[in-house]
Amino acid sequence: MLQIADKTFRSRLFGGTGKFASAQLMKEALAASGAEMITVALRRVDLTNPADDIMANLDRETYWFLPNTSGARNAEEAIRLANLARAVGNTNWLKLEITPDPRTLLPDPIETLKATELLVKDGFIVLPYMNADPILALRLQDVGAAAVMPLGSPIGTNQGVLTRFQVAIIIDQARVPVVVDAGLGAPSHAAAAMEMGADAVLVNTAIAVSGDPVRMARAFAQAVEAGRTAYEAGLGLQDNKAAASSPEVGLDFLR
Amino acid sequence: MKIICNGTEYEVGQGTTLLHFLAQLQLDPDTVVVECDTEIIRREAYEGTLLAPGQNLELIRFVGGG
Repeated sequence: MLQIADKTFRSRLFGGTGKFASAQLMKEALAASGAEMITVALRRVDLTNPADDIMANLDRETYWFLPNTSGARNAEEAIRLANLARAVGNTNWLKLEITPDPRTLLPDPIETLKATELLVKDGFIVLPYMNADPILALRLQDVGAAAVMPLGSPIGTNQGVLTRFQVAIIIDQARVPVVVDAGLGAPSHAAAAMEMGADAVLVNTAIAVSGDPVRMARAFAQAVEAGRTAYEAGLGLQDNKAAASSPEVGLDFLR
Repeated sequence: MKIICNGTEYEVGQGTTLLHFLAQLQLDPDTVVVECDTEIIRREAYEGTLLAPGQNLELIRFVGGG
């Protein structure tokens, strides 16, 4: 079981709720993913469409909400969003996301560290989205992050775990759970992260914009489970030299 | 009297409470958080909060996101 702060999760696949073609498709895909933790964003209500309310489609009993601070460009904006999330969501859990550059959506390490420290002091359970920097992961952990969320590759790029080397160090050093977030574009990417020993992965785009989000959600669930089981089983060591799997003796009759 | 809500000007009657205003906008008060002049209004206070001329309201809620 995965434990973050005082909460345990059976599923190690966290689901995003963005970019789905319809609310119904989102509901079905989340159900197929088996995710217990799901992310949501905060935006101005569209007053021309008051009935468009995601909360009408998500059961708080089924899903643990992880509001994000997407759209924040600095610590101040993120803290404003965090307080709004706490007020509307009645939860102190938060995926802290501070991305000053809309072109790369890469997280600002300085602002993220600053906001994590302030929000933890204010009683939030903070899961910061971060670049895959092992030193930053330790710093975030030291100021009280409940988990760290290093990126595999930039948000929405579907490129997989390009930060493999750094993520491996983060996993090796971390005392808090490591959730690989962003850029996981295929079930094999999620499995690879889990095989490395990530505690969980967060997937949104790859499921939401796939040809069949419900089946893709199931594929990700299977991959996460396979990757985790493989990690627990212990992978064999990699080698550059070949080593025969079949016996090398008993071939005298051929020569 | 006039107030600003989500960047748009609204004409509301004297004595309109926040809860009443949300009902006029057909919004579920349980899934909307209100900032009034950048201060968050607690859900329990919606009924007792009277709108005042020139106030700037922001109505925010959860949407899909990753």
